[in-house]
Amino acid sequence: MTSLEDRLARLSWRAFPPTPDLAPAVRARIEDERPSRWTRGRLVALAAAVLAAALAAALAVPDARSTLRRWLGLGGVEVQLVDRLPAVSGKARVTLGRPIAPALVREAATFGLVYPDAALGEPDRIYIARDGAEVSFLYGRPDSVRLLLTEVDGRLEPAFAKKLVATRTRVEVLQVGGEPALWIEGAPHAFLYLDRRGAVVPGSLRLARNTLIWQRGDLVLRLEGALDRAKALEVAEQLR
Amino acid sequence: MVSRPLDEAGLVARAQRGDAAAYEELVRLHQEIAFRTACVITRNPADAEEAAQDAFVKAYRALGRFRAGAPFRPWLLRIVANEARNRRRSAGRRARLGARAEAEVSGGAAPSPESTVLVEERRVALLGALGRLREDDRVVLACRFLVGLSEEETAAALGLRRGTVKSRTSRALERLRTEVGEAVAV
Repeated sequence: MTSLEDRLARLSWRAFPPTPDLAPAVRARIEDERPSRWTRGRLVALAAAVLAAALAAALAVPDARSTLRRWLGLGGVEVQLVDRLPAVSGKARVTLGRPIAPALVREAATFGLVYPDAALGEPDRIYIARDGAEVSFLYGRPDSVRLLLTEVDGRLEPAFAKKLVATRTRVEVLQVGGEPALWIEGAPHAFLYLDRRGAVVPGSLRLARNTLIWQRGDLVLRLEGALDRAKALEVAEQLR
Repeated sequence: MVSRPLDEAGLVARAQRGDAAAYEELVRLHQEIAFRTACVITRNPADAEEAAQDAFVKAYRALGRFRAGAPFRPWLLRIVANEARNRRRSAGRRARLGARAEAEVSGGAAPSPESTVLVEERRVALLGALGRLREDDRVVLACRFLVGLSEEETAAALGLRRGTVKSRTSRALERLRTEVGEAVAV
């Protein structure tokens, strides 16, 4: 008696229609492109050279080029140094997505998320956005957020989140578990989402506090709120 | 001349530098598995073809973020599955459940017109039973045994942990066994 697995495997030839040859069409669509660490058109026309110089100076890292790349490419979060932050209304309603029950969030997410209860306790609210590619765990109340942990599927959509950092804010490149991480501290910085055309998503612009952004495989995690660097790193290590 | 096995890492590295021919080769190597995985999710060949094509284009654009030396297939399949899910979300609203579910591809293949022998009927019965399982169960079994993905690849495509794939697979096999048994008894 053959196992059900074997019987299924032997059916594979008739379970699917013949595979179309995708290569010519794909080739035609990519012919004039080069792979990029971020999606084309997403980078605002900010003088890259100026940015590179500014970052290199701020970080005093020997290899400015690789630092810049990692900065811009870190899990879809783009960091830019600007002279002045855009005006942000303190009362602006921020959309984190739709609320979802703890029991359902794993299934609804498109990626293997890290549930933060062991490191941070049970979250007060959970939100899901971007067709399941982004999950936010909120601690506190929506109108008075203590901590916000956001996990994003880092594989698909690069450079959709942007942080604008003014000169009074410090940015450090760190490592969490051997992978690059960013720590943003000091004066609040602006956080916003860009849509596919590069326009600011309405309601997404807000001021963020101390923030740690790190990668865990293909997952990008962002922890922000009232916490210092040591505490943030401790949480990040626990969430690995 | 004996053909050497294609060096996938070499192709990826060339494609990362913008070599479209090398990428075309990668597409040929993986298009069957990509198309079939998309079929499992969309249950519709036209949507699956579109999803797979778009996924290959997106994967090329994202290739700069692919870590050298990592296995290419799980990485690709994750993108494919995401594209397929996005399509199913929009298509799902127009065609919902009902009798169609059994008649569509992958885990519910259309009965072939020339199915004249008992063996063929049993095959159709098995695919039909698979098509009647709940979505989670159907997808994991189809990925593992119809497409022939490894646990790791299935986990990547479905965004699950490997342990979850393992437990869900055995649970789904159990349910399929029940479903087939009942179908045969009728």
